Amino acid sequence: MRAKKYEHLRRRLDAAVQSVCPQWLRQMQDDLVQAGIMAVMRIDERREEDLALPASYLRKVAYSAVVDEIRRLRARKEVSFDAVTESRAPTLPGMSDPDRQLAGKQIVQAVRYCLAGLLEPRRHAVTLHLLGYTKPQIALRMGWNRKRASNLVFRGLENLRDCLRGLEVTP
Amino acid sequence: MREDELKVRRLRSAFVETTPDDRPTAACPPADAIWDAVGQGLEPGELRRVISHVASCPACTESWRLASEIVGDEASGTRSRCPPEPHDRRLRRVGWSSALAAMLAMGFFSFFYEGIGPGSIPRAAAGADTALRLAPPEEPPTAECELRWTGLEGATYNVQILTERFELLAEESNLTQPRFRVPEELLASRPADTGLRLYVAAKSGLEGTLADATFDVECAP
Repeated sequence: MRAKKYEHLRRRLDAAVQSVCPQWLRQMQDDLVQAGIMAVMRIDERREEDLALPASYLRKVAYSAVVDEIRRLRARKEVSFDAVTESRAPTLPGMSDPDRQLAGKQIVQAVRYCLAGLLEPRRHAVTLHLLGYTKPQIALRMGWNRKRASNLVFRGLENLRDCLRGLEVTP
Repeated sequence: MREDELKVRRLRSAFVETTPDDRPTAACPPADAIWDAVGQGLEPGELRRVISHVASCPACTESWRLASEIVGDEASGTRSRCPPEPHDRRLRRVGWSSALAAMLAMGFFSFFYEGIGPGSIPRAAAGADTALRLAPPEEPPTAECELRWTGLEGATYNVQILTERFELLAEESNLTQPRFRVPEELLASRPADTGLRLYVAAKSGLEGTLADATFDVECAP
């Protein structure tokens, strides 16, 4: 029965790493997921029998262990040219590979640079929007009304594009 | 696809891009904080700090997306398009103590059981906090283990049946009625003397999780 619980958690972690992590980290997917499972197992072993632990808490424990492991790998990673080129999926059509890589790298850096220059509420709104949240979801999350969220996303994206144009970067 | 949408997609694609040289820094919030930010468990000030950091840090953007995938967050623009696994239903918890306090304060989440009687004991008892009010049985005893709770207007319910050790046995999402019948085969197949737990999350389409709670449950096999 316990194995079933871990299997369920393992599937979730597997899918998340597969979906989010770049290829060089996915190569260590088993180790990452195992770090999460081991953290949960340690908690399970330590706790008293009658102490209730919600499944969501166990997920958090597993997640934290996976992120810590990723951070450890990132901190010690020596950048190789192959890793960079493999990780940078071409994003712009009509360019040669080196051009694409250069353009892709410029856009990535430029987006972060321009985000940092936005007014704080706009930066929050645009960041959440770029993470995939809709305007109503942003409103709910930030405690704004929908109109405010919508305005902040709109103005923020406008500022972001202006900034990118100023840097002569076209997404 | 509209040009604007295309541009936003390209921006998203650039925003979530990482390379091996995107290293974590001392300024990175702990993984727990990112998890709580995704699960809406942070205070507004702390949430803003985490989002500001994520805006500047590709590694923490990656961590945010990872949490979002595991939680089953509503963010859609960067999520994978894989269909959910059978057990991979969307469930988000709010803190147990705050949810319980809210429920008790509002008096809307009394949990009760039916089927009390010799030989057929679908019995539910409040789990961690016996202050939860149990309503007396209103219907004749039955061998079926149907668990009920008082509903919230407009809410749907996600439920999980778990063992005492929180191993998932069954779950159901988007119930429109505040009741759940524990599958007979589950009752028949579970090991002897194994207690069950019921986790219920009341959800609203607009507001997400309204309240949730976990209860100990005993059902006769």
